[in-house]
Amino acid sequence: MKKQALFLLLVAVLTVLSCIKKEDDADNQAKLNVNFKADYSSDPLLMFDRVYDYEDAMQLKFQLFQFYISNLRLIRVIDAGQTEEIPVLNVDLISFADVYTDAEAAAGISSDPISIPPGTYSGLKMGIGLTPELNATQPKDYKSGHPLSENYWDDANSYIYFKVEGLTDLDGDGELANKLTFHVGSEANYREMTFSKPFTVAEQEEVTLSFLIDMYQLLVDEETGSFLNFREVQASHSNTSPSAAFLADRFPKAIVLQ
Amino acid sequence: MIQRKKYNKTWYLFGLMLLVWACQPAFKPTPFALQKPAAFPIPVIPDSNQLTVEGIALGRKLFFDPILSKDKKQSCSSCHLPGRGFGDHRALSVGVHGLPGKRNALPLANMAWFYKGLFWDGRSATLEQQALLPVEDSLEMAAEWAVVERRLRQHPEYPLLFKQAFGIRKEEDIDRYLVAKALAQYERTLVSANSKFDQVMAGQAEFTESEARGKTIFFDSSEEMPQGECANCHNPPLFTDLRFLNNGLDPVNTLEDYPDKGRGAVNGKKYDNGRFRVPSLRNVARTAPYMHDGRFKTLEEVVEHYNSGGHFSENVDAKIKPLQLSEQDKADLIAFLNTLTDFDF
Repeated sequence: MKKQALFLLLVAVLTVLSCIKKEDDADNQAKLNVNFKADYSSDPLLMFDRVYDYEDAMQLKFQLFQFYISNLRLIRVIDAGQTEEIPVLNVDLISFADVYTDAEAAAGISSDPISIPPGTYSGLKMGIGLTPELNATQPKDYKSGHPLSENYWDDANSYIYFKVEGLTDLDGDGELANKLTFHVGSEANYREMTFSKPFTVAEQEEVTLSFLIDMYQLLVDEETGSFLNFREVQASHSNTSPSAAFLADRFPKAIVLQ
Repeated sequence: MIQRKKYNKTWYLFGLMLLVWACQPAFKPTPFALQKPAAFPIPVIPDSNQLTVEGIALGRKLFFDPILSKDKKQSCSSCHLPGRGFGDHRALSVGVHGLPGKRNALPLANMAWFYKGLFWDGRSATLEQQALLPVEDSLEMAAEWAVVERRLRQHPEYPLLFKQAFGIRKEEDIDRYLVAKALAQYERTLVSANSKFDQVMAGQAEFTESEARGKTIFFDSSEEMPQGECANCHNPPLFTDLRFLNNGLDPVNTLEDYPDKGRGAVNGKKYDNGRFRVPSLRNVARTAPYMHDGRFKTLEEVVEHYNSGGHFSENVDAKIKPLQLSEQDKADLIAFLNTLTDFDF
């Protein structure tokens, strides 16, 4: 009888063991949400649905605004005065292509939630565009649907870091019929930024980092009075054109961490 | 004593059955490894419908079998012909009642890489969802799934094929969702990546002078040459960015005036009215006529449309603008487009 009971116990244990799935031990992590919103001065930035006043009596409408962020690292305070960088996001494509309404603009664009170690942080570092290492890859290196499975520019051996597309009215007839397309890539146009943002997050808590990018600040340098003059240039497919460099240089000025 | 022996035997038998059940090998069809072309991203095959030799074979049989249509005369392949890049030669596909459909049949090359919605308007998120719709569309196969399921269950061959592909236990287990899974598996194997363009990129062939010039125009490769703006949306390796855009086909006064609202009819967003899937240009020379309604019979007409800048409306894409291409430019561009034909496909 004992043998039978042991035999049955063995069978039962084997059966149960075969069905058990290992669970991820994520209980001791915190969660980071990264959100981007876009404005034009104080107005929400909408695609298609809004006309914005621009320099030199021009007006603008937007159809597409997107950019890559890469190498996002949190700066963790580990001891008095000492910090370490915690890589949290390798790359993402932030696209406002489907932001048509004020509500959609208010919601912004969010990356997938990221697990981070709980602790005290003083800020973060991030690149606009792609690090040289990422830009040396190609879509064939990624799964379909990955942010880097698209937007590759073979001729330039580069991804397109950011795109601004829209319409303007150059002749002042009230019809925004002049097309604007600015596509910029290449390592020279990658920009690193550091943001100060002290916060503490505990296990299983969530923290959201909200970025705001101002399209007006991207197009206009109020300090010098220079701006992207659409009367002179309506398109850029060149990574080395003055307009490409202007936009790349403006990105750090146009983004704030709220 | 005899009773105890019977008791023991019962326990042993119960234990043995439990062990046999626990150790029973799961249904395991033959896995199929999709060959990824070198320049392509890694395809994402859904966990719930991994490719198998048996599933693909079943999907292929179903794809070419008119059993899915009301009158048993029309199969998927009636509108997606292998010799035409899995598209067809009609402006609008014709269904079982001889009535024209609403749109041109989209070619089916490289569907394993399409992840932003299917159909011209993106109304189905996956191939599994897409495969369910044409069967009951009154302008396509016009059948009822309940009838099709009954036909398949009573068929002399299909029950065994479904068992081999999906491990069904009885004929009644055959349903529309397994049909869609099988069709999706087959469609994911339709890979086109051996055109002259691919061979040149791999260093195995060379463009002619005209093709090379056309490539420069297509990719806006030179500041000194005309820019075709083609690759902004039709970028390799798929030659589509899978987005939904308005390319200025129709003159309209307002966004509500589009005769076919396309993407906007699916999501109710007015700025998506008149927007359609950017189709892949792979095998484009074999997939005439062109556009969602097949309005252009030739590549010459297509190139002329883009050269003109199309009709303006507020959501026509910013890249659609007059191109100022010469006759030579247009001929060279078409020469390049012809290099996208994969004669093995």
